[in-house]
Amino acid sequence: MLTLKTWIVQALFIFFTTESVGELLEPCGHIKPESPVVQLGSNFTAVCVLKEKCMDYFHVNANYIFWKTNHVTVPKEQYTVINRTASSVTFTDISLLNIQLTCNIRTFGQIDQNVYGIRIISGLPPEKPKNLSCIVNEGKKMMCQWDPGRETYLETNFTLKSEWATEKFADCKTKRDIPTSCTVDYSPVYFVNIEVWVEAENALGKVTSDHINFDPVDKVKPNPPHNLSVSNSEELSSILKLTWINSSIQSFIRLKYNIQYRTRDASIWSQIPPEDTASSRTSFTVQDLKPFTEYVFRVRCMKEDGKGFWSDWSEEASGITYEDNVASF
Amino acid sequence: MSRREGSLDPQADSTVSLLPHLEAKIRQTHSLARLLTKYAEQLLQEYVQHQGDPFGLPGFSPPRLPVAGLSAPAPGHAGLPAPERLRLDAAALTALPPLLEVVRRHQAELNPRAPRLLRRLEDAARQARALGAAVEAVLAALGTETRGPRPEPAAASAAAATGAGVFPAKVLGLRVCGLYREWVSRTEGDLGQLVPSGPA
Repeated sequence: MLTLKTWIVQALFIFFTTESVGELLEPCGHIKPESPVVQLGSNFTAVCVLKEKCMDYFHVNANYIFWKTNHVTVPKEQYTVINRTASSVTFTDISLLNIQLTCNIRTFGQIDQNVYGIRIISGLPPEKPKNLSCIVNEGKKMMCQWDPGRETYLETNFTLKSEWATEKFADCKTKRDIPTSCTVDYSPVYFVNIEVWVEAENALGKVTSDHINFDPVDKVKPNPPHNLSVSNSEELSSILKLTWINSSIQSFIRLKYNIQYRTRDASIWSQIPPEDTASSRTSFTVQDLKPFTEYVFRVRCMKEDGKGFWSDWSEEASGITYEDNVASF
Repeated sequence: MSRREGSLDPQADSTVSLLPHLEAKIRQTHSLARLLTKYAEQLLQEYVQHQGDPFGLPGFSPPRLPVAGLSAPAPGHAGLPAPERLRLDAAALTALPPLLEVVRRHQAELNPRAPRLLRRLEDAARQARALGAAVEAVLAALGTETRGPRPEPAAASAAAATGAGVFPAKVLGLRVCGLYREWVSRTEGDLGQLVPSGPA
C-alpha cells in the first residue's frame, strides 16, 4: 500500500509540473533572451519568468528563483526581482566564451528545481578585413586574399564581392577551413576593370573592407616559359644561346624576363641585367662565359610594365660552351 | 578617370591630366576588343562543332537571314568618321547580348551536354556588354554624345521566329555568333585607329 501511494505521489508530481496531459516536458518558466550572443567585455542581463501554474503548485514566486552558471550558483547581489513572476540576473564584463545559465527554484524548502536553461555565447564583432589583394594565375580563376583581423570566437562568414560597372558577379563565400581567401567562380576577363571587396559578418556585426578596383591583366602570374634549350657556338666559346617558348598569355600582353645562370657546381645564381631582358622575346644570347664550361639556366617572366607577379622559374636547362680555339693550339 | 570601368570624367579639371587617362582607356578598350575577337572566333568554331551536319561541312552556306535588331557592319563603315564608327560599334554591342542569350537558351535545349559552349555564350553576352560600355565611355571622353535611347533589341521576336524548328534555331545561332565576331573585330579595328603609336 505504501509503495502504491509513493508511486501515485510521484506520478502526480510529474503530472502537475506540466500544464496538461501530453505535455510532460513543459517547463515551469522560460528565460529571455533564449539564445544570446554577447560581446566579450560587455554586460548581460537575463530574465526568468515563472508560469502561474507552477507558482501555484509549488507555492513559489520570483523571490524563490536562484541562478546558476555552469552549475555554480550566482551570488544574490546580481539578482533583481522584477515582479511576482520575474527575476533577472546581470553579469558585467563577460569574459567566458560559453556559459550555461540556468534559472532554478527551491521548492518545498529543500528541492532545487530547474526551471529553464540557456547557453550564452560570447565573442567579438569582426574587424574590417585589410590588405585585400588578388592574383590571376594564368589559365585559372582569380583568387583574392585578405587579413581577417582579430579572432572573434564566433562563426564569422567572409564573402568576397566583385562587380564590373555593367554587372555584378556572384558572391564568393569562403570555406570554413580557409576563411581568408576565395577563388571566384568565373573566368577572368582581361581589360575590364573589376571592383572587389570583402564583407565579414557574424552574430555581433557586419563590416566591409576597402574596395579595390583593377584590371585583372595587372594581377597576372603568367605560366613560366617552357621548352628552354641551350645551344653553343663553335665560333665563339664565350657564348651560349637560350631559346624558349612563352606561354599563351603573350598573345595579349608584353612580357619581360629574368634570366639566371650558374656553372654546374656553383650554388649562387647570376642574373642577366634586367634592362637587357625588358621586352617580349623567345631567345637570348648570354655572353662573356668561360670556355668549355657547363652552365645551368632558368628563365621567368612577368608583364612588361611590372604590374602583376613573376611567373615561377622555368625548368632548368644546361649547355656547355665550346672549347677555346686559341687555347687548343 | 574615375575608378569604375566605363566611366571617364569629361569634366576633368585639366585637359592635360585627362589625356593620359583617355589614352589608357583607349588602349585598354582596344586590348579588350582584340581579346574578344579571339574569343569570338573560338565561340564560332565551338558553336559549329556542336550543331552537327550540315553545319561545318565544306561548302555549307546557310541563308544569311536578317537578325531583327542587328545587321552586319555596312560596307561603308570604314569610311565613316571615327566617332560615328564607334557609335555604331557601341549600338551593335548593346544589341548583341539579348541575342546571344536567345542563342544560349536554344542551345541549352539542343545541346544540354555542351556546358563549355553554353558558358562561352553566357560569357560572350557579358563581355559584349562590358565592351559596349567601354566604347561608350571612350566616346563620352572624346566629347562625343552617344545617340539618344536606342530601340529595344528585337531579341524576343528573334526567339519567336525560330521557335518553330531546330534548323532555324541553329541558323540563327550561327548568324548571331558570326555577327558577334564581325562587330568585335570591327570595334578592334576602329579603336586601333585611335590608339597612339608607341609603347603604352
